[in-house]
Amino acid sequence: MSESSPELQICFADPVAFKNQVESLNAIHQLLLLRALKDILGRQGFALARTTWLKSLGGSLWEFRIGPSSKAIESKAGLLSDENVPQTKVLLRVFCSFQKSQIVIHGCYDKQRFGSGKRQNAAIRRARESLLTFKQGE
Amino acid sequence: MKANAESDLSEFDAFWAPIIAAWPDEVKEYHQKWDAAIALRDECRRLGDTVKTRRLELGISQRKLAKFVGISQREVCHIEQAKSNPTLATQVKILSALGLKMEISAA
Repeated sequence: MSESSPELQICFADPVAFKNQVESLNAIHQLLLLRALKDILGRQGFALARTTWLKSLGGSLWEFRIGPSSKAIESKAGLLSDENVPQTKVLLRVFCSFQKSQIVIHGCYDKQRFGSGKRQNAAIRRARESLLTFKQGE
Repeated sequence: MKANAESDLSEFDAFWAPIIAAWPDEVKEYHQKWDAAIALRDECRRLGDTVKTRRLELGISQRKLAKFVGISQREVCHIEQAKSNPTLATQVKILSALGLKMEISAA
């Protein structure tokens, strides 16, 4: 799938829970999360699995790896570089699954802020539960 | 979450709308600049695809096109790959050399 493909549909397994997670981020990280979802995951979809941006966690769950900087996100989105824009460090992880033409978001966490394995494992466990609930509701 | 394509798209936008509304002005401005950069990226890709397709149809090499237009082969390559933002004059010269013309229409 080329980067210029039409946007894939992105939906949220649990919008309320995801909104709480998003609101725990600062504004600039919220923006970078939105742009990465819309301009990278939503455009390139499963083709990202050939890159370091998308990692399989097994059982149909995938980790969309955003970072390590705003410049990296701009570059992956195919934007022409603008040296005048200040760069921001960011390391976000978004858990998702692919359901036909839809990408379903199952949660996210800030790896830069909460880098411990314990936090990461808890976030993955919640995402797996979300995926299971979503599949049961299909 | 089994809505159709249109409502899924609006679901994404509806989700983000209140979050965006709460952003400080400088972040909203960055968001708008990003939208503009995406639009520019898409136009550059359209131009690059058009130039490459037409050049190949005519059987012209990048080197020959570059020489005709008065730019480097590297620049032609970057334009085709949407890695550069050529001036309007360069765009017109390239399209003219390929027997094409630029048209502006409402978005």
